[in-house]
Amino acid sequence: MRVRAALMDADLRVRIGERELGDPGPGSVLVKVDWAGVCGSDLHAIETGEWISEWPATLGHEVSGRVEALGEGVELALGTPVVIDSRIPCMECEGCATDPDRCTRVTVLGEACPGGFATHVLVPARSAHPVPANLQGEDAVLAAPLAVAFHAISRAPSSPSSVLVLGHGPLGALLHIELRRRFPQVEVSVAEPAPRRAELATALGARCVAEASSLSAAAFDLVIDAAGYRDALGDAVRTVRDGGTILLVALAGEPAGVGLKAVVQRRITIAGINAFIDELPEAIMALSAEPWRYRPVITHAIGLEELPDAIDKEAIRATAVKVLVHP
Amino acid sequence: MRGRPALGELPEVRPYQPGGTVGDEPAGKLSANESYLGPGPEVIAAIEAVAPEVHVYRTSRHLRAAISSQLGVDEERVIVTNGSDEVCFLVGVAMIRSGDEVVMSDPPYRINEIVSVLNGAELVRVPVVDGGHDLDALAAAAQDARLVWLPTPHNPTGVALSPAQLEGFLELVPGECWVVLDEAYRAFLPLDQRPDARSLLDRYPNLLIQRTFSKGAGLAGARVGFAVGDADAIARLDSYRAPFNVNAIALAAAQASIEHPAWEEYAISETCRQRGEFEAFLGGLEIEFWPSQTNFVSFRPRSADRAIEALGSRGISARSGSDLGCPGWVRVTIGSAPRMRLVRESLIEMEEMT
Repeated sequence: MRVRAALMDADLRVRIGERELGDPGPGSVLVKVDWAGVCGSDLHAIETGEWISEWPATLGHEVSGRVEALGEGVELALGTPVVIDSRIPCMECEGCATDPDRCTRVTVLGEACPGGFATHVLVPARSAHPVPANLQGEDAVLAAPLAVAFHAISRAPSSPSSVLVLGHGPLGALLHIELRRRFPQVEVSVAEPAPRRAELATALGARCVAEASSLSAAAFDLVIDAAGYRDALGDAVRTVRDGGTILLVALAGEPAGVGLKAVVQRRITIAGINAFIDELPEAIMALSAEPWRYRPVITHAIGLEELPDAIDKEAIRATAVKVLVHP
Repeated sequence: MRGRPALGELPEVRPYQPGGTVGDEPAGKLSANESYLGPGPEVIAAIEAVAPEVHVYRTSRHLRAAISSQLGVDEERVIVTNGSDEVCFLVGVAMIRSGDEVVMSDPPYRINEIVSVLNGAELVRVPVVDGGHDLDALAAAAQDARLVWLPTPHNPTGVALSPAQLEGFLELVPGECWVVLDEAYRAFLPLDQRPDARSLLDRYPNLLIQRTFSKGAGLAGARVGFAVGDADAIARLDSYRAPFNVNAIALAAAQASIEHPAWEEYAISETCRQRGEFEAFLGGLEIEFWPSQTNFVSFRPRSADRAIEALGSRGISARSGSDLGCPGWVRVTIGSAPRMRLVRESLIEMEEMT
C-alpha cells in the first residue's frame, strides 16, 4: 500500500510525500501510526546521514499505533494498540540463536526500513507490543526511551545517594524522573544549558546548573552522560566520586580526550548503554500505572506536514524536550 | 405515607454543570480548566505522606499561617476554604440579604450567579465588552448595590483587568458595597499585571479577595482555596463555615505547593506558552477569540456545535458557550501538547468543511 510519509533524501533534506510500503508478509503487521517521537538519534541521522541504508529514508523509531492489517501466521487482533520495539534482529546470528534481544547485527526501524514518521509502518509482529487499553498513545510512545532509561539504571549502583545527569533532553529527563521514582531520597543534579530543559529539571526537584564545570569534583556516586558533548566524559570523570560509576547513554560524536590513569587510580566504572534489552514491557507497565509521572517530558506535538520545518536539531534543543509527531 | 415540608417556597437554581469528558477518556477533558500537568512531585509525596493519618481531624492553622506569610498580612485576615467556591457560598450567607442588589458581569461566573439567587439577591447584570468587564457600568450599578462579584481574569472569557483598571474601579465603588475579587487565574497573569493584594486590602476595607489552589497549583480535585480581607469580615465568614471544612489531604497538598513553587511556575509557564501558540493558531484561521490570561481560551467558530462535535470525534471535550452564558462560543482548556495538536486538527478540519 502507498502511505504518506516524511522522506529524507540523500542530500539530507526532508520532504513529505508518498511511498510504497507493501502489504504485511508472513509474520508481519501493518500498524497505523498514532504518535511518533522525535529522538536525538533521528536528529543525528538528519544531520549526518549516518546509519541510513535506504534512500529516501523515513525516520522515526519511537512509535505507538494500532494494528491495521496482519500477515500470515500473526494472531494479534486488528485494532490492538501497540508500541513498536524498533530493533529489528537479523534472526541469523549467534545472538539471535539464543535470544533475538541479543542480536549482534541488529538494525533499526527508520534506518534500515521505513519508520514511524508516516501514516503506517510495517514491522515484524514480534516487534509490536500490545499496551493496556487505559494507556493513551501519546503516553505509550514514551515506552522505548523509557526502556532505555530502565536499562541504564539497571547498570547503576544499587542505591546512589547523589547523581549528576549531563543533559536534560528527553532521555536525560526520563532518567531523572525514573531515578526519583526508584530512589526517592536521591539528590539529583543536572547540567543543562538550554533554559526550557533546565526549567523542567528544576521543577522536578533537581539542582540545575548550565555547565558541569561549575560543579565540585568527586561529588557524585553516579554520573550519567545523556548529552554527549565534546568533553562530557571529562566532566563525568572529574565529578564522579572515587569508586563511582559513569553511564554513557548519549552517542557522542567526538573522540573523548580523557586520561585513563585517573579512571584506574580512582577506581571508576564506565559503562556504555545502547538502547535496551528486555525492558520494554516493564516500561509499558510503568507508563500505564503512572502516565502523569512521565508526561511532562512531552512538550511539543506537530503534524507530519510540519515535520520538515520543525526537525531542526538546534531549535528543538533550545525550545523543546520531547517532540511528538501525529501523522 | 408521611409527608415532608414543601420545597416550593425555597429558591430554585439551574444546577452547576461540571465539564465532562468524551466517553471515559480523562486525557481529552479540556472542559473544566484543570491543570494538565497537575501538581508537582513534592506535592504528590506530601499527599502520600499524610494518607495514613486521615483518621485525625486537621485544622487549617498551618496553611493559614503559610498563606498569610506569603501575602504579608495578619493571619486573622485569611480564611482557608473548601475550594474557592466555598468563599462564594460563605459570602452569600454572610453578606447578601434577601432583596439586596448584587452586580455581576454577563456572562458571569456561574457560581456567583447561583449563590446570589440562593440568597435572594436582585441580580444586576452588566454585559461584558470584548470579553472584559465594563467597569463604568459596573461602578454605576454598584452605587446602590450590596455586592459586586468581580472575577479577574474573568471566567468564561479569560480577559483580565490591569492593576490600574482595578484600582480605578475600586475608587468608584462606595464603601458600603462589597467587592469580591476572584483571582482564581491570577497565576497565569504576567508578574507586572498581578494586582498588589496587600496594598489594595489596606486601602479598601470593602474588598475581599478569593484565590484557589485548583488552577495554577493543579489541585482542583483536592478542593482548597482561601479568602483574604478585612479582619472583621473574615471573622464573620470563619464563624459561618463548617468545622474542619478542608480535608487533611488538601491541606497537606496546598502547604507543599507553597513550599515547593518551582513545579507550579514551570507548569504555568508551559501552559501560557501553549496558550499563546493556540491563540496564534486561531488568529491564523481568522477565528474570533477573547485574548486570555488564564489556562483556557474562549473562541467563536463558524459553528460552535460543529466545533464541539469535531473535537469530540478526536476524544476532546470542550465547553459549549451555551452552558456558560455565551452562546456561539466554545471554551477550551489548554491541555497537553498532543491534545492541543488534536484540537488544532479538529478546527482545521471543521473550517475546511464549512
